[in-house]
Amino acid sequence: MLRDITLGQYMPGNTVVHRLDPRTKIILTIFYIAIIFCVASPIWYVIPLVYLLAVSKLSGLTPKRLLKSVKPLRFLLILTFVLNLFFSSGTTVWIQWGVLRVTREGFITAVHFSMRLIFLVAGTSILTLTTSPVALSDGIEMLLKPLKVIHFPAHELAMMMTIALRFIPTLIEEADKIMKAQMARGADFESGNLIKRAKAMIPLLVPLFVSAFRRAGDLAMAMEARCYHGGEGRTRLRVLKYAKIDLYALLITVGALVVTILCGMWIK
Amino acid sequence: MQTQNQVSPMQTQDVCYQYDEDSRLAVNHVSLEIEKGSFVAVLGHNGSGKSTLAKLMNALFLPTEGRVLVCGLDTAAEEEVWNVRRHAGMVFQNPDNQIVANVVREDVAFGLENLGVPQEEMIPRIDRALAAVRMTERASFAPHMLSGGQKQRVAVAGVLAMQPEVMILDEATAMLDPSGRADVLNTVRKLNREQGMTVVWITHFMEEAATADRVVVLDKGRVALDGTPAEVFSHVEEIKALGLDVPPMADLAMQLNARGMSLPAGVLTVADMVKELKKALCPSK
Repeated sequence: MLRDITLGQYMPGNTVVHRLDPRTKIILTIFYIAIIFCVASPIWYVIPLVYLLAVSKLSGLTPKRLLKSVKPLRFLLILTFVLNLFFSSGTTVWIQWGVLRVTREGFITAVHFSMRLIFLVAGTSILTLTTSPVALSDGIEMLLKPLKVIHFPAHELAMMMTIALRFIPTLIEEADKIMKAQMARGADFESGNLIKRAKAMIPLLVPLFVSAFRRAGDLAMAMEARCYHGGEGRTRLRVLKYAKIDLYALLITVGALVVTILCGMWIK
Repeated sequence: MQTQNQVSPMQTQDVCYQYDEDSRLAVNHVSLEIEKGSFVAVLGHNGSGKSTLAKLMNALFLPTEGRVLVCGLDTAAEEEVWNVRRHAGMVFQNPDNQIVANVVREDVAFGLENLGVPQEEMIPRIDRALAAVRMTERASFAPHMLSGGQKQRVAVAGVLAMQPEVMILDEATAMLDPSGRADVLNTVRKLNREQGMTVVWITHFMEEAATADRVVVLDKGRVALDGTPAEVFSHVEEIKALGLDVPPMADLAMQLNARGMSLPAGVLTVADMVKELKKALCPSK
């Protein structure tokens, strides 16, 4: 039952967006976030909207799929909207109801902040939807490499991510096995209230942790036996290469950012 | 100076190893010289020191006494440690705990990446290593999608790609099912025969040792028996006294000889037994 868990939300594909260099995609995401924060009034969300629709078309991810990643945030969204609606200061009163009042300015702020949240999540999910976890960790390693001058452990971080990804299925399999062994001896993981069920997990987690530590020791020895000695002097099988398309994507996104800033200056 | 070819790829000179100051010697004055291109099986039951010996051969442990020489390089020399590990490749017992990468191909690349091999040289070496263990078709698989035997073959490929002088397999088949065991053994035997790879095969399965060029039996850290399989397995009583099984055919031959037959020593396989029995029972044919 535990084996069905998929890793991350990567949707394999071979579109332009999938083929972009992971480094580019991370940088584009940062620019995209900048665009969202530079939007000055709700009408100008039309710029990121056009941008997102274009990316959605290119990546084969439907707008519906992108909105799906906003779904877990629906309560936060409602909260943002309601709080801004009632508690923003403003002069043009629409409805007065005791201490609560809805103003035109409050309504605009509520829409603005909710849109910001929706666009942020929907847009950034494109990165994880179109980039495999391995490529993502490669991209992060390469981008953080310059920080090595201040002794930032970029290679170690990426290696940790790779190993974690490698061992997730192994540990899930093992948890499944331990669970079945405990169930065969009468353990009950499914009934009772939350606290009872949490307690029932202890005989599952203890052996899992013990075995994870043993695996870590074994793996460290195996890595050492294969001459692993950190990132220094290491070459890579997968080499990331920028292509022309990366440049175009970057230019278009920077262009969208500039347009957003200019529009904000034109109509506030 | 001797050339690389004449130096034994693996030599232990009076090696001792102690885990703690007050514990007994896990490896007790072991001197072995492994001949280039040979397939040496190291046998012993649990606690005989065979895994410790394996780790001594790869500089994972350093001897308390004596020396271990890999291609003439002393494993105790700190500056040579990566050279030692490149020359003495090691495959471990647990197939799940020695694969590092998320894709078969990239795991084979792991050792080469560590050695700093340029990318363009890496690719043909990986392809050759994968072909040698018959895993080419599964090059882009995730390791958890493979069987135990296949995972061990990937581990063998990972070592092979580093082009070692000697390959040490530390109970590489202990956690596999019988077909996986046969699969890994045959793969490594083939590497030994066709590519002249020197192999140190550590195991507690007698039948795996029967086809080796040389068998070393360890007991309590000491070398108890050392010789060709035929020689070693003719000491049926001694092997049994060490708590090990003899191959069934060697046992049968001994029992038949005890009842008056005169089969020669060194009958280890069913085919040998059939041949010898035919000779003994129907001398005319």
